[in-house]
Amino acid sequence: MNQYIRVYKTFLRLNILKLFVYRADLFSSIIAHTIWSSFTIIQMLLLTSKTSYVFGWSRNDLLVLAAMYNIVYSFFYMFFSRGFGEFSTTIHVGRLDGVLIKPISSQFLMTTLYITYTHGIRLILGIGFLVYMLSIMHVHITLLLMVGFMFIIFFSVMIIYSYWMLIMTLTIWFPKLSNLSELLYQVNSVAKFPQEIYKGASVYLLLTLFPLTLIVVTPVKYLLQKAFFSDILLLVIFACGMVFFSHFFWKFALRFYTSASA
Amino acid sequence: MRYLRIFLLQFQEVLEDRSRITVWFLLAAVTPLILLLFWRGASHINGWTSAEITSYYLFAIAIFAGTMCHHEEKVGITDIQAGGLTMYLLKPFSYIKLLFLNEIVYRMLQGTLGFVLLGCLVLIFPNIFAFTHAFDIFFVSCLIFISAFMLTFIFKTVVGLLGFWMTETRGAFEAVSVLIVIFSGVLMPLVFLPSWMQSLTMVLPFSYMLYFPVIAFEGKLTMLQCGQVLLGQLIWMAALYVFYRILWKYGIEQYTGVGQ
Repeated sequence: MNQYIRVYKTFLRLNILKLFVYRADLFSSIIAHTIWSSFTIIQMLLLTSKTSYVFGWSRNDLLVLAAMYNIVYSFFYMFFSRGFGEFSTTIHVGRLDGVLIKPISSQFLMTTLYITYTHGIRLILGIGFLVYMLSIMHVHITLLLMVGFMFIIFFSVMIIYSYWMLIMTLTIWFPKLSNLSELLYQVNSVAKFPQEIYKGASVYLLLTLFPLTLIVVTPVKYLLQKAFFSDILLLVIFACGMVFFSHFFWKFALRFYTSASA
Repeated sequence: MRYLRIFLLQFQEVLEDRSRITVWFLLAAVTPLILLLFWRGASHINGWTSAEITSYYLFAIAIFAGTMCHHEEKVGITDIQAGGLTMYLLKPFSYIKLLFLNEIVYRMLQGTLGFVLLGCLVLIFPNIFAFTHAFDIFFVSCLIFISAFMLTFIFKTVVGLLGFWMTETRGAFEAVSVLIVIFSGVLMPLVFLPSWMQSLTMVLPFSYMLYFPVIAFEGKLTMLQCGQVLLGQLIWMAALYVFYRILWKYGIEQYTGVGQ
């Protein structure tokens, strides 16, 4: 465990150095992340401008959902998404060989090597907007509520991580699918909306997207004090199950990795 | 003849990437499908019926796949910033024509996927689709569709050329993507926007890229309105082409050939 912490500290340091070496990239990334996180809010404002309720969720509830989406996904985008984005290239050009021979978990190395600190802007904007919305809705935040909230966010990020891991592992069989991560960025937007919108949709669609619908809705319900114990338990069970299954799937897929020269 | 050969070669090259094309198509379909599900739960939808909204988004998926070009990153990053443009400048072909031939192949394949899907849905659920039955409107709608493709092509080329002056173009590209999503009608039919934003969409080129082609095929425009849309598209295309010529003329002087 100590070895992993030491390696991760090195990653954190290296990524900070990289951030300041390419300053134009830093500036551009901040602009891009500001635009997209603002878009999440603007999108919900526009969608709710002509309708007051959607599946029983009020406009304010939906705006809290949009703010929470920014918060939850900012953690994932900051610490993991860039690593997943490199999966296809790493596998396609055979760089995975170098990862596999290192005395450390290949999954850990593949998913944690890149840290995009600039996604912090998404977190800041999300928190700012959430606090504003909660003050409008007269929701009082206590220390206990905050601790519980952090706990739920942790499991939400675990679900996103495992979901991406399961899908991106497919690049072992289809290494040319470099746009698979782009598709996942789009699919993430499923989490921006209430779970109820998927009711009545195809069973297959529901089964595929169900874990994503828990990610943002559960912390929102918890903050608005509408969550039941079963909601949180479901999130935790799903998170643990998916982490286990995605790790198993990665290990299984590696047996089919043939390297670039094969 | 030589351009036909290039076109066929591009076709072969793009067909090799069939799986990627399918993923790109899914990418275009995800957002409208989610929004479609979202509107099912809306308590009041600004005078539109649920069937009309469904029809709008399904048409939007097919038309978006067939018209929306994505070559700005190739132009701005791969060619201008990384120096790939040098290879094209040395060839006895126009750069923009090569880009056009490459992009037309992608749009043909993705558009075909989109229209096949749409056709299947029309056959299965004929009642939810609004579709023009007048041949003349249908014909003009096809012209609007082709113009929409050419308009997005020239617009995205202009956006890509910003790479001559900007060392990092990602922020600009992201900003353009957001503008397109909001003002072209991907997010929702433009009549759902607040009135001041609706007025704004009329003076921007984005509505001509998706919204008007969709409602033209749905038969929501009269012949006269279709003509006005075509005229608007032509004016924007001409303006953007002039702008492209200016940017290319001055931009090529900035190009260093070894990456910016």
